[in-house]
Amino acid sequence: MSAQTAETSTPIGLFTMTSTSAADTTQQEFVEFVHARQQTLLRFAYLLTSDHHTAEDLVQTALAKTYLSWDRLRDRGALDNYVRRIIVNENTSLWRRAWKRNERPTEELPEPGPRDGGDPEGRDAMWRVVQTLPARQRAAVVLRYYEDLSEADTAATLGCSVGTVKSQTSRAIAGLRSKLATDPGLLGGEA
Amino acid sequence: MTDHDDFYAQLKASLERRAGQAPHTDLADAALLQAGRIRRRRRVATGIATLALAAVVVPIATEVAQRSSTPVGPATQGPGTTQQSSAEPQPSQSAASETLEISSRPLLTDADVNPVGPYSGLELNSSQSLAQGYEDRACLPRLATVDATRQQLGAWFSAEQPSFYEGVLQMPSVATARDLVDRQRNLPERCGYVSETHRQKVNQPTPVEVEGADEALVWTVTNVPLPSDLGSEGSFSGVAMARRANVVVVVTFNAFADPTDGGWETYGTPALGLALDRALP
Repeated sequence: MSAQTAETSTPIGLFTMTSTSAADTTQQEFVEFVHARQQTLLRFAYLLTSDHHTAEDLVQTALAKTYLSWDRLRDRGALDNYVRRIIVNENTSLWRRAWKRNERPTEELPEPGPRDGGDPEGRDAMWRVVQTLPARQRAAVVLRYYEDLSEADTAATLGCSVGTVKSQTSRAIAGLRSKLATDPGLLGGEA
Repeated sequence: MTDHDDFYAQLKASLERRAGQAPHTDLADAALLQAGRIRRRRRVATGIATLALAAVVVPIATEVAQRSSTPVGPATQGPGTTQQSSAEPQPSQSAASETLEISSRPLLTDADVNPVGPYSGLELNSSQSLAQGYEDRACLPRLATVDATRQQLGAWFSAEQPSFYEGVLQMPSVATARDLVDRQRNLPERCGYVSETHRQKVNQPTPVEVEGADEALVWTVTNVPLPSDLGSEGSFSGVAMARRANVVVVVTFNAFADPTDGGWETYGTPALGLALDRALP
């Protein structure tokens, strides 16, 4: 069987039936990209969602959509941002679906509960308040302070203006400070 | 280290610590499988529409059928009504094979529309008119006068101030539909009437990914009262537009304030996806 007409045994073959060498190359490039970047993307999605399954679903969907657009994405250097943007949009869509089910975000901090993996120093306080941020503000905070993206790159990822990034981030930080200030013991005071 | 620096250091440390707890999963095969499912769904949707066209009409008959196609509802202008175009290009054979027809009930439902952030109770109302200049202020063409083959417009109102507006336009060809979207890519700095006591800000369209769409844009327009205009209300218009083949869908939300807090895309993008689903058979 020649490379030109080799049928792929991977799931993609279910709909392409017979893959050409070009399709094989595309798939190979994509799989290499996924293997190189999936952990980074999963960390990003987890910070947006606080949930393993939701993070996996988000990244999987974002990667699937990226694969469908693979041939149009000529700037491979911008792939991370492209996938992050889909993740943010998918996440806010999920947030909206929850919104429609009247599962609205609350200003109340979630019950502390047992801390994952133990955190005797009480440093989870910051994380607990981060989780109360609205989806877009949380995305802006994660992109700026975890991914270390510039305001311009954050704006490109979120699909908004730099001004919107500034205002979203500023509101988020003010919200975090305010919530932490209402209980100073939350921030490092439990050590 | 100042308190300021300490805060950001603790924020970063907290995020990094949590990121370390992210799942470790190989998603390559699952992503490829999901890509297959998405692609199949798109092919099935496109295939059904194309087959229906190809099986029922020959190219010339298509021209005739499109010229004489009846509107979805009564042919009057305004919200909740439909309109038939008076002029349309002659579709070529290839264009005819690419075009889609909108479904018999192409508009969103009340349940689809509600709520929009804190706003709810929006109801489709064909007897109530949109405020004069509504589309102008949203930087939209007047949808009732667009040269569509078939179209349906709907406006939702509530006892509160907000309104929601949707247009489903079946354009004569892919090219005319694409042109309609392209004309929105660069909006003017000012749209419609703006009171001297208000400052308008037109946020230029952003391309977004909408499932099932060939292209999609979202944008917003805000009118904010000047400090001297005490007691006056501002206004917000969020607009989202998507095209698939020759079908263009537009949704617009208008209220005193942005219910998405600067994230109109978070509403507009999924709303467009749903609107396209409803618009196409």
